[in-house]
Amino acid sequence: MRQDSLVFELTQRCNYDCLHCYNAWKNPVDYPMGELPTGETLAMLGKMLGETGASLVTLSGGEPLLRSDVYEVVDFLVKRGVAINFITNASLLDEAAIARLSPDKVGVFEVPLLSCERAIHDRMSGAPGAFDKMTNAVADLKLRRQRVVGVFVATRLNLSAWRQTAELGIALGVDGIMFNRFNPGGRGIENLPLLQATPAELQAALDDAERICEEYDFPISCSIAMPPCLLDTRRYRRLTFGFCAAGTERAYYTLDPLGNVRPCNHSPTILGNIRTVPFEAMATGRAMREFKAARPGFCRGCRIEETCLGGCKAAAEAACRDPSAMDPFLAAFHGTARKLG
Amino acid sequence: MAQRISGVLLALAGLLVIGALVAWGVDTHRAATSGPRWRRRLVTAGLAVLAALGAYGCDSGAGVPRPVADQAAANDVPLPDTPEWKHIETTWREASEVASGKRGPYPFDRAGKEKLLAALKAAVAGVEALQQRAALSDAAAGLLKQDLALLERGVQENRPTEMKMATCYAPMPFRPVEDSLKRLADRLPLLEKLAAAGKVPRQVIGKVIATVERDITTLGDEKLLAGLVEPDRQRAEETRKAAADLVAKLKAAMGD
Repeated sequence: MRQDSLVFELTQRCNYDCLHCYNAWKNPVDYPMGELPTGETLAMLGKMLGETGASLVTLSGGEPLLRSDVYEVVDFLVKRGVAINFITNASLLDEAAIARLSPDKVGVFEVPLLSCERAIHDRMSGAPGAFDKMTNAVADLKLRRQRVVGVFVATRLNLSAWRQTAELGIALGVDGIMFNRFNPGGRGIENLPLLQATPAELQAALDDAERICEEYDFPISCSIAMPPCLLDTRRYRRLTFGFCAAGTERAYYTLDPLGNVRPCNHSPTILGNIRTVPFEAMATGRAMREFKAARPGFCRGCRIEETCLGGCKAAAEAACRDPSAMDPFLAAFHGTARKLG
Repeated sequence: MAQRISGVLLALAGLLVIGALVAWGVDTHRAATSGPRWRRRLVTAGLAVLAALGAYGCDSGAGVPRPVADQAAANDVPLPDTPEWKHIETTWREASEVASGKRGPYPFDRAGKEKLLAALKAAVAGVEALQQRAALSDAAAGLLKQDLALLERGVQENRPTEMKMATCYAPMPFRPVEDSLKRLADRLPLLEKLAAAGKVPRQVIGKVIATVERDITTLGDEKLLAGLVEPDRQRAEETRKAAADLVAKLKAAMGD
């Protein structure tokens, strides 16, 4: 049961309180919490890698740098020849940390690039000073020749300054930007009315993104599936879009700090624990089969039903406890959806 | 064309009959499901005839377009034998299959998509050429062009095989900034703007300038330049000079 990559959530602790946070343990509240000691963590990670054959691990959290044994985990992965992506809020990326996470160990850092406006970036992060720490960390990472991707989470709060925010990223030297539409999950569900942008607002931002790509010869990838019935993605030649890959070999099964495995980092569904259940049993089990087959009734008969799958099932699951419910974005705007084909 | 017009007329006739029945207050559903058998059969047969007329009238020939009666009016070559029509037919068939999803979710690679889109453009040009030679009437040409525009939209909607690897959440392969000479020069005016607006801490601007200076040094490296061929070599030289000037300007503005 080979997988290309997986996500490892090193810790559930975080020093930020992002309005848009999708961490599964923030909703539902009964999600198992805790961490294993270093030895057990490495054994569990080794078992997961052995059973999946993953060659890329994305380290995430919470804030992974809050874990004191993060460097041991990184070295463990490097020794096994596994490539590493590192998702961090950048608040703890001081020069010493950057030196220990050198380019021969970490391939890409993903840092939040929420707004060029300090107040908005800080507000969305739930942490005063977040903007200054982020810009400083990006500059330090680039001085160390690290590859950095800025992650823009598109919400009603920050979309009006999207272009300027992208230009801030380009000026700082980031190597690319991920334009993620806000995907409610975790704490983000509470803030849905505050953060959810309309399809028209997102479409305008994507138009801008395409222009930025051309003007600066700059790569922007659009993450979090964008249903083509709500957003006209066919008009873009430079932007890249993806769909949900759950259950395929390109899926990014997610391992939490206790060894629980989920279909992806947005989904709250626990398929089993890698310490006691073989990965293959989880990947072919009933819960995963149901997750894979789920799609909203609204999408039945659509020409691209099998590829689009109705947007993000994990968000539907987080919001409605049912992966075959409508993705909250689709639920909010399906009245304006255009018919495909 | 004559077939289409007769179909539309028949459909209109059917609509008129239905309108009349509604105006007279006839409940056709009730009449077809209750009452004596002979009346039920008669009403059902009548409805079936109306449905058939409607279906015939609405048949726009969704498949490959058929050469129409006004073909080759001022032309010796029969329309189906013209190269334009042959191209239209082939492209139409392929584009229909792609747009309908018959060829799967990733029906072509990027080059294939470009090729098909170009073929659709050429098909439109072919329709126009046939129209100019009066091999197609204006009305027929207009309808064909409308349908080709719909097919183009359907083709655009499909993704190339290169996108198979794109997942909903994963950075696509990014090229390091040093690979892009253009971006190096573009970054400095943006940085200048940021510095002037005081949006980014001064210390950060200083660090970014340091990375830019390093890239400028790299661009001046004789070993690197020796490996470049024209016009890349000249571009690298120009970028290096422009970037160095902008850095000097930025430093002066910052009082360094």
